[in-house]
Amino acid sequence: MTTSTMSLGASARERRGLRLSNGIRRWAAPVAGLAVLLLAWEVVARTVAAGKFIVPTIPDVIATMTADGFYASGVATTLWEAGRGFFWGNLAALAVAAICLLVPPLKAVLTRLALATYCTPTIAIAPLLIVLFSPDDAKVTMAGLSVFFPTLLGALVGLEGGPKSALEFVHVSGGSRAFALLRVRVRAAVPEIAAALSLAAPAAVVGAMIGEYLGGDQGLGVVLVQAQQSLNVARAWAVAIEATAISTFAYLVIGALARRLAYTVTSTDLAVSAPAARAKGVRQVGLGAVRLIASFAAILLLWYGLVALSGVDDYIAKTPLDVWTYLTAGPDAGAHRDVIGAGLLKTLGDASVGYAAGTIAALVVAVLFLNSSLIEGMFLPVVMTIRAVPLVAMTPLIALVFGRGFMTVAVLAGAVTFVPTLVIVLAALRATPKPAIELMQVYAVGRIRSLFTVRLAYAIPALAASARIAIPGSILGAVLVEILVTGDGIGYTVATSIGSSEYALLWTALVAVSVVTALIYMVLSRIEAALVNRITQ
Amino acid sequence: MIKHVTFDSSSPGGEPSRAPAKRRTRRTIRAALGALAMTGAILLAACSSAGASGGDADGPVGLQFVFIKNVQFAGSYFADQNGYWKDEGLDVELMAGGPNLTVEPVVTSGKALVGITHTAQAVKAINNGADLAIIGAGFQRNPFVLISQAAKPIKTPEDLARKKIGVQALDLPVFEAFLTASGVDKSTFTIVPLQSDPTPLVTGELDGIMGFYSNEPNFLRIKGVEPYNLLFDDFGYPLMEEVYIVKKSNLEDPEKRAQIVALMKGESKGWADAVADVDKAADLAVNTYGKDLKLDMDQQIMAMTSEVDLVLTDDTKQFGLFWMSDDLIAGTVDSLKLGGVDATPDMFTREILEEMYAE
Repeated sequence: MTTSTMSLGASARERRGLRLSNGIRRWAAPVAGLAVLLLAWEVVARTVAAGKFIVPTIPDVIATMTADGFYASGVATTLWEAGRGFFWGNLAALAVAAICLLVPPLKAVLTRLALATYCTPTIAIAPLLIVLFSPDDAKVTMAGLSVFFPTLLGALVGLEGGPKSALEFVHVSGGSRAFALLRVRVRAAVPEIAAALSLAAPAAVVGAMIGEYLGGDQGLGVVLVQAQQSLNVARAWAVAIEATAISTFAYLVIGALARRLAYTVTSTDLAVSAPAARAKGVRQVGLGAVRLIASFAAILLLWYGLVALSGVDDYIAKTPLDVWTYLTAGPDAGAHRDVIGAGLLKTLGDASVGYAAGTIAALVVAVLFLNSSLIEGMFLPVVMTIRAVPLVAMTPLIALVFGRGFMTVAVLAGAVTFVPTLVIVLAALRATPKPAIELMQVYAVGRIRSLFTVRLAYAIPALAASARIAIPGSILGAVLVEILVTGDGIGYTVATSIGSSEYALLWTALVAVSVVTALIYMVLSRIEAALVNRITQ
Repeated sequence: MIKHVTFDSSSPGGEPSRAPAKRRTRRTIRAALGALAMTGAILLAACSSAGASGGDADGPVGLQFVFIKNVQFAGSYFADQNGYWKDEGLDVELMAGGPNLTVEPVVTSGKALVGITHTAQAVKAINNGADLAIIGAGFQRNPFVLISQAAKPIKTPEDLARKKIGVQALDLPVFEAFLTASGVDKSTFTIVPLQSDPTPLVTGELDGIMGFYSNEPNFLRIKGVEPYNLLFDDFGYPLMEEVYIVKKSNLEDPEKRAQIVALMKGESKGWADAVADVDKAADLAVNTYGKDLKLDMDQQIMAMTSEVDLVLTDDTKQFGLFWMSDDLIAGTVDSLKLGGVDATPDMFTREILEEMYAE
């Protein structure tokens, strides 16, 4: 200690001590949680997994990582790709969100298009990306695509939920939509956008690594490909852990930066972000139908336009007409419909399994966290890193432990939906209005019962809200599992059609997945609106 | 500042009145135009950041590999290192591939002048309308193997019954062709997807995996797992592999054709060096071209030694490397057809090989 600190007054020293112990307490729990996991890993590596080339020991991983120089050039390459993808993907998402608010009629089309980008695995459009872009930009695009939809959704929720009184004031004073957007909505939306951006950081890193499976001279994904092919398990884990650490770091830094920028919202009357109740009547229904047809037409037009303008070889780029012909004309049309139909059915089944597993796990963990701040402190940070783990690296392990059927689907597709559901449900359970809880206490209702009667009731709208991102997520997860592990459903159709250049089949499969996801999404939005109305009334 | 009062139908309690409706429409149109301009600007910015590596007359031409830069493409490293392409007045960019990359679109789009790919994939692309021609074959023998553990070997196609076999999605056409060629019923065993990762075989989860003669068996050996290799070539399934493809219309374009001939000439000289010096080939892969991939030197030497068996035959000694004899073409076509891959001899052309070896 230096002399200056020695000379501090006793009270100041005490205060510092107090702060220090607070700091220790804040860090001790996650560190202990991490230690428990590491110990479990080492035990597994030395016992059941010994000599099987799937779980290396911790000293092995550390030795490999150090000897390999921490993959410095790979990290630099991957971060450079992920960083640009993060920038462009988020910029596009924020711009589209602004357009949706400035020109409300465009919202339906734009969100549907965005949804299609989200439920399409980037692997599936790889042939297009490598034709349209340079090898480097194809990876940047894949990173950008993986952040676009979640950020758009976060930004829309934030921007649409500006403080009502201020918005009404602007409105009554004759301020334009642009004025309301810039002066009121953007400020109020900062926390939501900040949350979305911090979630986008790990997504961009994982997106870039999947992009590197297209090949490259450098990058963590490329090192991972080589490590996996040559059975260097310690190196594969070293790369996966380093990628996870970097993603988590990016998540924390961007989260902290964003929180510092966050505008304190003092107004308490946040507008409800769910769609407003719809007026019924023939005119409304008619208008709705017109909008739906208009957005459908706009998407088709955009599709035709892109195919025509991009100049991509027509054996790869198929038009809506090609897809239609594939499904309806010619002697094989019936067989084509059967392939797509059966694949879709299987994929939806897999997605349901994943969604159910992820949601149940999230609810259980949320309740655990709510009841024990120690457990939450220990494992919440670890749970948050799940999203940052490159699943491709873990596939052999998961396939070995859980087989190539039901359980693996539940684990992998569930992992995709688990984190967003947990985050949203946890927030909702915490936000149960105090009066409701106090009422339970007055009537001496036990903690468990009040959890089931009151808190979970308030969590239902949250579950519905998270479903809007979790269900498309579980479809994406299911498609990925099918490509990587189980080999059936639409996922495998996609993988094999690329290998055999059957691009008409590829486009048809992607359209089928997108249409079905969009339909589910529409239904979910309606259900959410209905639920929110019931609870808030 | 405040110009006119309008009501938004989406706002609570706001019933749109007739008069401002027109203004609102106008404003919506203005906003839509603004939005379009904004999107356009973003797209433009995104596109301008996308550097095009097209095939200009004097710019570099691309050679697209089917996998990452390991010793599998050693000949190209020699050609580059020893300046064989520079001697031809050609600047060649070596483009790495990966597990998720398909070579054919890269070649048809002109991003690469020549691509190295799997034969079945190239044929399927041609059948689906890709304007491609196969101009040479790096491997004269079928490099595909069914790998099992020596302790529990799969020695004949009949042994497949009741087994669980991992096959990469992109290799599936080849595997199915092999099954048909050897008369094995697909329903008697299970096929599951595999990434480029032999782990499931070592863990015992799978009984066999389809792999590449020069890759997976060597990876397993280095890790102390003795593999048993069932060579497709030994069971009535001849196939040329690592074929060189070009855009077919480029063969008619004198300038592009000259570039293709020059590229293949350099490639041929490079491969002659590579098969003559296995250690140097591995060294180029590990320390120069794939230096950031963390390749293993011993394993790369083993892989290159295996590759020499596939590259050199009596035909190549007599006619030159990459040669596609009538017999090889016929055998390949027959093999592919058995698997339902509709190959025809006119997809293969010797014109570039003949031109480059004529001098």
